Amino acid sequence: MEKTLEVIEDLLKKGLVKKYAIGGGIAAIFYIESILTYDIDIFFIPAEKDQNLLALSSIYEYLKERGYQPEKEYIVIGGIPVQFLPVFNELVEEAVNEAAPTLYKDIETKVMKLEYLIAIMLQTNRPKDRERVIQALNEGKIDSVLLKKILNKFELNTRLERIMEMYNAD
Amino acid sequence: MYTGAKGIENFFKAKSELRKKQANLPIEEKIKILVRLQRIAYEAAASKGRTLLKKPWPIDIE
Repeated sequence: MEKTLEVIEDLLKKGLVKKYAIGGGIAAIFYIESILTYDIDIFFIPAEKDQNLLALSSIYEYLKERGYQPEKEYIVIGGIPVQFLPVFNELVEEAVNEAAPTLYKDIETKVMKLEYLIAIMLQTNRPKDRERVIQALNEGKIDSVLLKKILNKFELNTRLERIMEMYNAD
Repeated sequence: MYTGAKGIENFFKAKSELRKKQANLPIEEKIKILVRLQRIAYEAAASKGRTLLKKPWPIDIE
């Protein structure tokens, strides 16, 4: 895991990405109990604006030169499948911009804040996202002011209310 | 033991407390738990003759 995070952080240092943040299940684990997941989702802002595909191909080239092999939609770094995803909407871009620098052992990495993860899960809205939203609200330490601000901005309040009704959550 | 309506209520309360406790573990501990979960899922599939395409992370958790 340390090697994986080090290599990802190197992409930032080498200027291959402007910013990045861990999202998805692994980011959630930073705030809630462990859930079963297998890959690390890295959302990134390309170094050059509107150059998503070019940035993705530069990342793959850089990693392949260092011996890391692509496998389907992932690239395996230190035995861990990593998926690189360029930011694809305003919410995800803001989540990357606002990501919190975090330490894993002594390795610095960037992780999306829980409030943004909840908003992204509400936007994605798959069954597993809905369950994780409830889990995050029950287990995580939420900045309710920030969450409210994000949900208002991206018009996700109604969706949250619906999910809470569905799961009989308070 | 958790029997009767009160018992069931206590069971869910205890479960919820455990989840909150686990949520507060250091991330390094949670990653160890994740790898254990991956191994359990992999072995469970193997015991039914299935091979999961997603494999447990090859990291030392001892």
